Amino acid sequence: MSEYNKFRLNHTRRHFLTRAGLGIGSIALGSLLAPGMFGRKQEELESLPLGVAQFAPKAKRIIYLFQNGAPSQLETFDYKPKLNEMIGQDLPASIRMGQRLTGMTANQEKFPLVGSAFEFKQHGQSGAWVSSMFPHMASIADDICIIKTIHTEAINHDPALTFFQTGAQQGNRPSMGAWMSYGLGSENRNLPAYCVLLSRGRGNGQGVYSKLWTNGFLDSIHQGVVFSSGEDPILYLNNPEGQDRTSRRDMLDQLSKLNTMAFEQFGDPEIQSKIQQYEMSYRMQTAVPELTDLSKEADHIIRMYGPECLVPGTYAANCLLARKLSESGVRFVQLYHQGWDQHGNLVGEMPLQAQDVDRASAALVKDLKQRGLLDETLVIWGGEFGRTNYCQGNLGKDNYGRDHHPKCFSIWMAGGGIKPGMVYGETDEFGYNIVKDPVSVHDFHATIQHLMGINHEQLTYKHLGRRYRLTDVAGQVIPGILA
Amino acid sequence: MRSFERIISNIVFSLCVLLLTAAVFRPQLELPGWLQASGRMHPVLLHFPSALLLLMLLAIPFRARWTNIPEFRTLFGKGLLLTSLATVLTALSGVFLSLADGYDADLLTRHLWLGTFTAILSYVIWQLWTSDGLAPSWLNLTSVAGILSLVVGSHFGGTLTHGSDFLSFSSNEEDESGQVRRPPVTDSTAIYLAAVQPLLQAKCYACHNENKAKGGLVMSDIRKMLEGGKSGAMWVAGDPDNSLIIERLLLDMQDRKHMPPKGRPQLTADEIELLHRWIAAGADLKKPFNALADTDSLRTLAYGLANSAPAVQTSGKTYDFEPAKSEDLKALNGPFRVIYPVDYKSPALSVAFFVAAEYKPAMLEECRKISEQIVSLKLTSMPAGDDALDVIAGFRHLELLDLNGTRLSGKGFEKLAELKQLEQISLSNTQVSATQLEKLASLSSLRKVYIWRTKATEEEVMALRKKHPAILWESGYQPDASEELTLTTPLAKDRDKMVFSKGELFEIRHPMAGVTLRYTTDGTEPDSLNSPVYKGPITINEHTQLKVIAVMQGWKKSSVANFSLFSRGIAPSTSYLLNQPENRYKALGVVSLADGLKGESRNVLLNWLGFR
Repeated sequence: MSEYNKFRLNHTRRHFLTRAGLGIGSIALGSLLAPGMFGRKQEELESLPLGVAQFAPKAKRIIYLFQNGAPSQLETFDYKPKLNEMIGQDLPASIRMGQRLTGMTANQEKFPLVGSAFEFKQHGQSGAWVSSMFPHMASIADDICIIKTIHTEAINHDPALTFFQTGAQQGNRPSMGAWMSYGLGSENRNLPAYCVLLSRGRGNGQGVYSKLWTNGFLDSIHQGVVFSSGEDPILYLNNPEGQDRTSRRDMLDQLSKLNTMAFEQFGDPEIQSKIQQYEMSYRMQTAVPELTDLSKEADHIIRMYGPECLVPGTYAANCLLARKLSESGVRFVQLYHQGWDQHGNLVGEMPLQAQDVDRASAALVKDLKQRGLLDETLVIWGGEFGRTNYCQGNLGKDNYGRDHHPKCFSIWMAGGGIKPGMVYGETDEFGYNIVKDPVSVHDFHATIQHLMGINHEQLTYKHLGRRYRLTDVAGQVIPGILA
Repeated sequence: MRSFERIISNIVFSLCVLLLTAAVFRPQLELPGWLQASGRMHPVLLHFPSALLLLMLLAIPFRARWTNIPEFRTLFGKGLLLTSLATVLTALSGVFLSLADGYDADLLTRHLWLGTFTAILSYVIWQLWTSDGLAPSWLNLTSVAGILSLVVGSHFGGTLTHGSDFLSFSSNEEDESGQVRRPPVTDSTAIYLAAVQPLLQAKCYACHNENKAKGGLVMSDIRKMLEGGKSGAMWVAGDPDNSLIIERLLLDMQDRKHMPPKGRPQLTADEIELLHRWIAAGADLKKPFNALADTDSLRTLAYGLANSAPAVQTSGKTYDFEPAKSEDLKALNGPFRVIYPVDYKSPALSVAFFVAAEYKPAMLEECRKISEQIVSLKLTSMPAGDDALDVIAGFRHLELLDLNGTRLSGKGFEKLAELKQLEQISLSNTQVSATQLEKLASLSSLRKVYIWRTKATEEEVMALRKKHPAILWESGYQPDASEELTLTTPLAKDRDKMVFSKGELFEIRHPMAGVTLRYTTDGTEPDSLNSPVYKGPITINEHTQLKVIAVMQGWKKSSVANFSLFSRGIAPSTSYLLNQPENRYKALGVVSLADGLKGESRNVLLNWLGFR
């Protein structure tokens, strides 16, 4: 059992008296009144199999290609020719329906509609519309499921990102990767179950913070491990000069003895995590060099991901590393690529961003597929919200910008039990509201957990007197996108 | 015998208390599954106490005529006690059953409290019966009250289960017809057939069919439906707000004219909305989906209801073999060989090997202990050779086999013939040849073979696909030779070094093997043919403006990397700071200002000075 449950066995005196005080006489009634004191529900919660799926999972691992800053749905997958027809006209109030605006456009007098400056074409069997900026992603249209109707509650980057990662806008809850690590454990115990890779594009960027990969109130072994974008992806992994592997081992053994003594004295589960973390980093010393060695990659791979994949810290390099980590059993690989916040100069910046991610994102899917791994690996591509169908500021002759839009945006998912080659959901002809099959962020989380073999209502953690889940008190699995 | 009665009496009493508590705290009750299931016995149990109790209570007022035989009297008492026990148990099971959803709340409350009252009353009556001293009028009174509450309570119970019109005098025959198999809904299906008619059938036909035309309305026949009933036509096409059906649906639940009647399955808000919009759109019986715009809300609503989402499946495959011994699992599991069940109830196991440097063939052989249970085996990138197949051949329930990047040549694939369940085999990055692959085709369950970067040529793969079309032969990404990609820009080996002492070296790197780097130092753009080739670190003796490009056959030349390299010049012999930096950002003090290193931006080294 987990440390948490062991910890719970360390009953306090008050705890014991409260339990005992109820007396045996109250058991009959108590079992009816107190939520299932002997009932099945309690049993289910207690015996919830941590570290193993509840039911046979479709996806065993996740790679989340987060496009930080929120790429416009209107220049990626949600084709709205109506906006080109109505260019410059004001957004009808009947469409906006009082939707709140960010501080950046709230004082704007007019909301001039603007269509995509980039051409759209249909691709694949599903006839999915993809903008001309993304030829490689278009080429995998038959492998991916584009969801056009995801919507969120937040209208600014930080709360929206936090909501996507942790299921709540306020922060300090565990992030998705931490929940997966907690619920399913690590497949490869020589690597962290949850790895985070960062890269920065050339467009207007927004920050990422460690709270996005936090373990929140979960045990700290579930925290995301950030890889450095430099030459050495994991800092300080090598033994310092003058120390060999044997003396390292001796040192760790001694340290572990001291830590065990401390644990026996205080019973703090964090001490146990510490011991495990030392052990893992010792094993990582052999596991990581195998992974980060790019010299053996075939010319094929370099052409597939693009030559940038050899330059550490680029999105392409991170995609390649993500494939290698995932192939080696890392449960959740989280990428963040910054630079998608096109409030202005969208026409100038977006092609640069697209250039950075298009080839490598598609390559990742193809690469997983040719190794037989796509069936069990879920790949997700998308940002934290969408962008408005009207121009922020004055509409220029050849350029425009878009503000934040929470009511609908597009992401895609591939592999791992997702129906390939489909487009899910419909937005109205203005690309502003959803008309069919909305998918909330909670639904998105519920569906992902379902694919991973977890009932999202049952993976809980008791904290501050109540049980928490990634989906909080909402979320429904979306059957329409399951293969 | 007396003690027997006392025990039963005590049991009944305590059950009464439990019943009362359960009834009062019903909203807070959370039952374990088995207890809730016991609630389903209620409809079976209830017949005993209803009949027995009714008979006994009817007999009580006339007891003067038959109690002159003492044995009879005692026997009646015992019967009454047992009947009371049955009544209380029935009531209790009813409370448990009531926790299931789907009952009309008002009716349920009435039934529940009358039931509870009857049960407790039955016990009171038995007490009165055994205590001779009390006035006989009490017995009569309670009996009559018991009869009333029993009859009325049972009636409510009946309504709960069978609906309010069950006892009406019209024919009780339900129309069981109409469960026809519908053709799949497509764009050309009429909306009426796809969504409206199924809805009417589910919620209205039961009382408005040819056998039982309540209100003179027959809906199961289109022609008769259009004629309407006693109150008139069902709808006014195009005007839902003046249509009778919408009016009846929207009436208050308490209204006698509300449809469907209380106690019957009601329409959901979406379903009412569908009818409303369909009538608004002209109530056309033939109009298909594709006559409406894609975004039309009637279309989306009808489509949604017609294709109501399939249930989410969570059950996987079931296996009939025994689970592995847990001590075996414990012994075999480790950081380099991970074994875990497919899910926590499944006996099937997945085995994966990690870290090539730690792999030994014996680690695979040890898995023979769990050979029955292994359904998935991953040897990705492990230095496993052809002899591994001898072991793998014994894992007869294997479904997925990942041998990507192993040292397999494929010799001995015929040994795998017994793997009747094998669905997928991954052989990417191995030396397997097409002749070897051919042997796999005879495996009966095999569906997917991954052969990217094997020895099989594209023609051989085509031949395999043609010969064995049931199997997916995935040969993966083949680069487009005509596509010329741009090389990445050359980089300085030490990105932070920009100041050089006389004679120090500057080193350039490029991550791609085989590129040629060409450079200039005179400020002109380097040329991919004539500029000097970079062969090793360059000595920097003076300020140098270095421009470098990378070139390679088959690739476009890189963009120009521009390095401005400074020579150190005169170093100060002494220096000191007039203002002190912030404590955290002191670095090495004044030395850091002139050490020739660029301040590091990631705040890891803190090799720069910070002032406030």
